[in-house]
Amino acid sequence: MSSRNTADKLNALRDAVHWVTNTPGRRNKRPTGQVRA
Amino acid sequence: MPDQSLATAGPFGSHSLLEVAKRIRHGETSAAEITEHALAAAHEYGQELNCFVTIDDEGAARAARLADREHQAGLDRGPLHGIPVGVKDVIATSGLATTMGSAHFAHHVPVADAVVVTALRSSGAVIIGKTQTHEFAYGPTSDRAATGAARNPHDRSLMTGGSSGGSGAAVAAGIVPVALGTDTGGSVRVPAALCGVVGMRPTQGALSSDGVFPLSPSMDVVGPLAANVADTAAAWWALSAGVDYRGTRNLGWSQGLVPDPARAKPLRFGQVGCALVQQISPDLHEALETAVQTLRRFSAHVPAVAVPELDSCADIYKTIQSAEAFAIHTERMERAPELFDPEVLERLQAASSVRGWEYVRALETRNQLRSAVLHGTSSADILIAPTVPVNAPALGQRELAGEGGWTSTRDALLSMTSPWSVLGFPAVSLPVPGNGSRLPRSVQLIAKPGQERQLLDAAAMLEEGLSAGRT
Repeated sequence: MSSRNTADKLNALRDAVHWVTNTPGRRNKRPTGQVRA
Repeated sequence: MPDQSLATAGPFGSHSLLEVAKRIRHGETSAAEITEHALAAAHEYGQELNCFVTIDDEGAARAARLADREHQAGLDRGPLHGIPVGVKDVIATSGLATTMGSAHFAHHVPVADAVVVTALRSSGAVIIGKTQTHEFAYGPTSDRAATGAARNPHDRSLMTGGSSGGSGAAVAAGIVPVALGTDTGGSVRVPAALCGVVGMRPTQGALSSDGVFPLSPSMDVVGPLAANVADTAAAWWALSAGVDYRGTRNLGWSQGLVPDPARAKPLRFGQVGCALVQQISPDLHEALETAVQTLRRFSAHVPAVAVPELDSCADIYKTIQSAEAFAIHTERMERAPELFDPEVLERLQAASSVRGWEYVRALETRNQLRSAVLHGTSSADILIAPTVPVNAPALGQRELAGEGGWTSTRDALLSMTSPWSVLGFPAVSLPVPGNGSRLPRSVQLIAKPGQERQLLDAAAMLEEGLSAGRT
């Protein structure tokens, strides 16, 4: 484990913010895998 | 000679959640492929560790395929999208058995998800199975359940801690990067500490408990266990972002919610001082000192902050938890006592001795203690304290040989975590690597109610400092 580990992971999490907020088709989607009982 | 360690044996032992999430988006792997690996690990290592009660091969594969199709269609639900996760078996999952670790619910299949499960699914997480729990979450050892004891990946002769022991073991073994637990007196933080992962207890009431089988409703909270602070933050995001039942998600995810070690530097840290925190083994005392010294590298000083009220919390905790747990199980105890694990039944019978006035007074005292601690710790934003006073005891071990001054395993394991449950403060347990110790060591950071962001900032700073200290 190196000191870059935490920083790298946090940077990846910052990237992940863009994944979500830049997705045009995000709304009105049913939760993944939800079973309709 | 102990069996070979299964810590980090699974697919997430060598790849972090976010690394896999990135590879999915680059087309280097898929949700279906990584889910297949996680399911294989859940069967292979999960069986040895007894950390899963139910493995949902079919449902997980279906959810993973859907996640892949969504990715291909341009829909991105965030870092958990397509990532395998585990859910403690006291948290309802629609169409998937939820047994509470008890023969009473051996065939129980909920018709609806708990709110936190809907939040996970809305974030695209793939639930691969239900993780082992101490029966009805009523114990910090996870070695008393209808399906048997969970085993510690670092040494299978040792307990995982509990009650979210299956979640702790599944994450420590790298089967999943994140698993949900519940924490009443320490049921997320204790297994996190004993298994060497990160475990977060949010502020009392921060997350919905709808669909979560109660143990002691005034102290129960759902919390994530994860391999590291960034993964914990990703799970916390997913859980706290909120869900509405039209299926749309709160898009309140922003850069500001990503933990930032630099933002933690100006925070005021303090080391909890009271008689209780002196009662720790030399190994864990050294871990605490290492963590405090690491914080001192970032923060000018970490003064001792006296919190004498913690020394009064154990009795309050027992009174409140006993009364509330007995209220939940009393009819079940009359109807079918034989379906309980004998030790759990014995403890519930003992819990019946709490009188109404004692419970009411304990609730009043809790409010007074909370006010006193908020006032007494106003000089610090983040407190540091031990998570547990001893390393993982052996499976079934109920008495200690005086380590840290403790003789009762149960009292020892809950001693450092339950006070913060009584007070309703958020806390996170994180591993302290180093010194060649064979078993995980940990410390606990505590923030003020509602300050999860500060808590995760501080945890990220400490994690970064601790890993830098090893290089």
